Amino acid sequence: MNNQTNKISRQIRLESIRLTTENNASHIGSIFSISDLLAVLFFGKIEQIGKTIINEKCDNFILSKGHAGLGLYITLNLKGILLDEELKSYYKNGSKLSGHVSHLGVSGVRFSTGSLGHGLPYAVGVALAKKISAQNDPVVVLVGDGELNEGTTWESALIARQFSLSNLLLVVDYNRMQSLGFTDDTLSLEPIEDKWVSFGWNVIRIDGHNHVEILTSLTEFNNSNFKTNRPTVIIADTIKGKGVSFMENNIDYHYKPLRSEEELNQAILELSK
Amino acid sequence: MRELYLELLFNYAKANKNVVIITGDLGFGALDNFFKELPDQIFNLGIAEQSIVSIAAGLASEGKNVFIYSIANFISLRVLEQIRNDLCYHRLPVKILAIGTGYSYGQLGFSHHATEDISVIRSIPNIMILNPSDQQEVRLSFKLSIETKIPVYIRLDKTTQEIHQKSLEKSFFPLKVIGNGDIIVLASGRIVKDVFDTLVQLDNITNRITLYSCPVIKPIRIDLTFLNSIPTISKLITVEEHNLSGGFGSMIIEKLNESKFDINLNKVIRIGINDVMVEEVGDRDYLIGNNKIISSLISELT
Repeated sequence: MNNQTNKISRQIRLESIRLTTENNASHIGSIFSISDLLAVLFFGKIEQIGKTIINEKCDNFILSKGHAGLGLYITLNLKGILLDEELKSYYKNGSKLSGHVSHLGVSGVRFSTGSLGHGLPYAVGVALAKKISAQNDPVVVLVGDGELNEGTTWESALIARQFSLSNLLLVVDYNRMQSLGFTDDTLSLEPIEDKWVSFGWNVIRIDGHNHVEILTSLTEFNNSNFKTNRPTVIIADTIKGKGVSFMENNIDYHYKPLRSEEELNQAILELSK
Repeated sequence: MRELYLELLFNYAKANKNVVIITGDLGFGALDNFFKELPDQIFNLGIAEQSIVSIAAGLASEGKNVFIYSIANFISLRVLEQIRNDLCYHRLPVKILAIGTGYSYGQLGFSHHATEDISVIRSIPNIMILNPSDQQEVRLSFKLSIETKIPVYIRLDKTTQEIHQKSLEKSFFPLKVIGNGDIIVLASGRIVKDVFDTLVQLDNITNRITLYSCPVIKPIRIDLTFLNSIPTISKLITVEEHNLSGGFGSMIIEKLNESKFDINLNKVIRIGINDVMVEEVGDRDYLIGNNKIISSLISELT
């Protein structure tokens, strides 16, 4: 399994750096930050249930940090849901694949985001609907850490607990950087685990680049869904720009694409190792 | 009008178990029978309007037929982006029941006056806006709101108003209310009744004016072709309990422009709130008086 998901996350990074550079598109650092999470969420089989946490149609996943949309498009392409030609059209005039993730005419994308703080409450609605219909299917939403600045995050944290949405999994991409700098210098989220514990959630802390840890946390969520009445948050410690030495923890790559052919070659070289 | 809509909704929800009503801790006394008899279909999600609209989108995406109950300005201006991105862009047929239109909550103060919601919401594509003025229009609005496949913003005032004598089946607008004259008065929402009562009190006025009500702001086309059958229109007056900037009157001027009617725009008079904020306390009648809404209408007619 690990071999497969490692290959997937490498493909997500390689394809995204090619497409962002080619199209002068932004947010490559944010995509690298979640590449491992996407790989395991969509391709890591949970032994107990013999399948991935994200279902075959990929319609139980919501990417709330819409600026990393390309990461999802590539994942869906690797899943065989989004065609090669569609992926190639990314960012181009007349395409359906905008920088911030959009669902219109795009198979596998359930919900469009880009303005932060929308994905979690939407996922709460989906999870609540499933509970009302006496289903326990998991609903997974991936948010950025900067997004935790939004009030709707904490409104939804209260609501999800109040309505016992054990089928809701929130994954926080905790790379500790947001648009203009470090989260600790902007609006510190610490102590981040205590915050979620105090809201009554199951809290799991992992290294968001370690595929074994990611898969174990998903298994833990799956168990918790059937045994408790609490929603689950996985706080994934990640690195913005993970995988390319000069991009890691470098705020420039939140907005800027690579600057030159040399940079691209260097990045591809490092990622191909 | 609110009570009637809720009564219709209650019966509808009883028969349709996929109906879900959500409230942001509002509706004291108005939603009791839902909580009592349909506890599995109503959810108080707390004072969290922005999350509520996104949650409604999530529920609707799973096939639930969602109705949000709230106060008009909270569930329009505060959640505008959620309406635009989560409901309209995704074409999810969530019904937003916006209670307390215009100056209804008069003395409660500026925060509770819904006097810009039509302007801002009508600038978003993929949404229906309903603004009924009486019980019959509420019945029609209920029907329209449950039939449409797009989000609905429906303004519901707390009052009970009777204007139309018969039930309304028409699916084109505006609806004729009274009169047969060449002064055309077009109004929308609760204020239609105030206009109606004013006209009835004026001597011989119904020979000179014709009053129309527009319970649908969009997307159904307001059909103004009837104007062609009036030999000479001496004036066309719009009346609204809403800011003039981008509101109902603006919409009528846009329609006239689109339809290329041969009407001198100098003959079009828009009456409403003249882009000013309320700076003193007052009940609805007082605030309407301050804005000279009815008095301006009377001086245009006499």
